[in-house]
Amino acid sequence: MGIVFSYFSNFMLIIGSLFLLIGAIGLIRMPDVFTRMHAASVMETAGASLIIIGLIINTGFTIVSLKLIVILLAIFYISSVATHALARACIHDDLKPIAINKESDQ
Amino acid sequence: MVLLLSLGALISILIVIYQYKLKILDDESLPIAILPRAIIYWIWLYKEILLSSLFVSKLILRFPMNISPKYFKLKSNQKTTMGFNIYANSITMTPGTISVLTNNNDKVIQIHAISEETKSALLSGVMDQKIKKLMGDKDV
Repeated sequence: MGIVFSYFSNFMLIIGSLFLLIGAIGLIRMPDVFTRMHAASVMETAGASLIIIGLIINTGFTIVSLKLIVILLAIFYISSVATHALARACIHDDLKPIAINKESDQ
Repeated sequence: MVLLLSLGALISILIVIYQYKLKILDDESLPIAILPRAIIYWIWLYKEILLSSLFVSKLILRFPMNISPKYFKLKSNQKTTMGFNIYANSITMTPGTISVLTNNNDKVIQIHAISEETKSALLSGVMDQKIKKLMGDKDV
């Protein structure tokens, strides 16, 4: 049973790391600031949560896993608010997304 | 260890009772009544997050890069401020859509989506209905 949990936790950690890697590639490849935020949100939701779930399975259900759950909830709440604040600041600073420019060209 | 935890729990309960007697608890504190339904909603939201993460990952790894981002306004059907808040935060949390500007008076959100698919997934209004059910609105 322990071996099954260990393999499952390693699997979750690897998938989460892959999401982090894909998000980092997306941060470089995307054309403007809003599309880069989409790539970053892949990292901070799917990547972070899969890694923390893998760690919870690895430690078993102790006080450490309770702390990890609190960290997971904090990451979810803080990242969504931070992304919204960043996007709002960009709009207020007259930084137009390329979506608006494309529609005005047509 | 157990003594410290139970003392902390006891003091928290006492403080809540004290605030209730003072009548300074309002509806913007933690809504315990929706918590059981909120767990079901979180599981659904997490499934959506994983699915749209896979979608955005495919977009990122496609070569050559071919994306057409969309910027549009969306009218929400939420009645309460709390429901509107949960809706806007859920949109931001799902990869592929970001709520940029919100207006609480007429419940309109300006949304930046990364492609046509994520835009149409939002316009179908499934998430809106789920949050109305979560908040316990009768006219779903």
